[in-house]
Amino acid sequence: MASQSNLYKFNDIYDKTYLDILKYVIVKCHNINDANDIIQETYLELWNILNKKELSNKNIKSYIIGITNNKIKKHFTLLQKIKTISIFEKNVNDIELIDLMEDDINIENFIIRRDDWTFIWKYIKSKKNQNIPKVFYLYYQMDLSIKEISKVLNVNESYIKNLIYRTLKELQSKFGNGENSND
Amino acid sequence: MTNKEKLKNAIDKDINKTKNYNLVINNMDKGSNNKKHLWKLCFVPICLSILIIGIMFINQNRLTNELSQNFNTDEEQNLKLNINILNNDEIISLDTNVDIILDNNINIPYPFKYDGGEIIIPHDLDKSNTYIVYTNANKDSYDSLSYNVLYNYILCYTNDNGRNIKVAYSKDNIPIRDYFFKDNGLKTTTINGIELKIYQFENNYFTNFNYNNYNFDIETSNITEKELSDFLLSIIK
Repeated sequence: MASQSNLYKFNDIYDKTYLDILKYVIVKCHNINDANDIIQETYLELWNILNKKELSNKNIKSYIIGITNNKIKKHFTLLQKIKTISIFEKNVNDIELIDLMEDDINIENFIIRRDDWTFIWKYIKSKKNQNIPKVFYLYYQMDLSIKEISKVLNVNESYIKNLIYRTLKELQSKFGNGENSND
Repeated sequence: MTNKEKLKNAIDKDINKTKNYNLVINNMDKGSNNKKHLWKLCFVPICLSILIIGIMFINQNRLTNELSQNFNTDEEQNLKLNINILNNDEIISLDTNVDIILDNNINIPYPFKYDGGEIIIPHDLDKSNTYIVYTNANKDSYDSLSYNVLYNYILCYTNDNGRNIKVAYSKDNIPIRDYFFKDNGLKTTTINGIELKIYQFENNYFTNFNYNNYNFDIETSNITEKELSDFLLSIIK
């Protein structure tokens, strides 16, 4: 049976590693809607391992990332990977246009009247191109810079700016005129 | 509150450290409770497994005998497939506007049962689902009721380990996809006079062809080349 000391140890590891593991899951998962499940499954497996053997705190993050990788693979179903490849980035003119913009695309400059941001976040998560919710999460929630996001997602900075700018424009057109505010 | 703060709050409500922690803790408890009653839970599945294995063993022997009597020549079984390997750059996704309905109770045209033949599916693909793909005649409407034009059917043979074969088919239409390949005059495979192109991306194979008045579009995942070859040979006779 699980001992209390294992629970303390688990809590300590959870607190110290959660953000890094979450960032890893967001970057590597194929669908951001799986992120919560992957996180829970990862830490549940860690808990089971802790009850079976002694784990050293040294390299514990790498160890958990190993578990996470297996959980991500489990959630990778047929063709999800290729189906999220987008032709979005192929529009060279758009990329040049976005290149001229500052790195800090200000969300406040976009008029979004709908106040239910839970709904808007669900809408963003439902995008077929899953790079969109990933970029939004990393940029607005984790406060990563466009340069940092481009590095972790292995795409160019113009592409990131393009995704944010286009999605904000879309949100403005969809939720900015008040027509959908009672959906 | 700014838009950014509102978005952050919404995201935090959805992907939340404390909520995830509580769910992990709840599942830990379930795990330990389950262990106490593990022998009770295991008893019925073990008995069932023994019964199923027994039945499968008997059926396997019968099937092997039937196949050895009825299946095609050795030459066909050793068919060499000319596979076109794809990389990311050669696959383009498309936005498709369709409604896909899962309905395992509906009677749909079954494209395989001709000349008394049966298709050869790997034995572990023990689940099958039937989907019907509808398109929208009115392109300006996104109302689900306006998706009422029957386009094609999909039979999906699958298991819990991520192995599956999806067969999309239609007599009137080329089954719809939401991606296409950059075709550079690639290698072809001929099976019983039917020429087809087979593509591979990672563990997935794709092919499409017309046979017996049906347009077929086949996607597989985690299926071996031999299993694909057996499957295609069992369709194209």
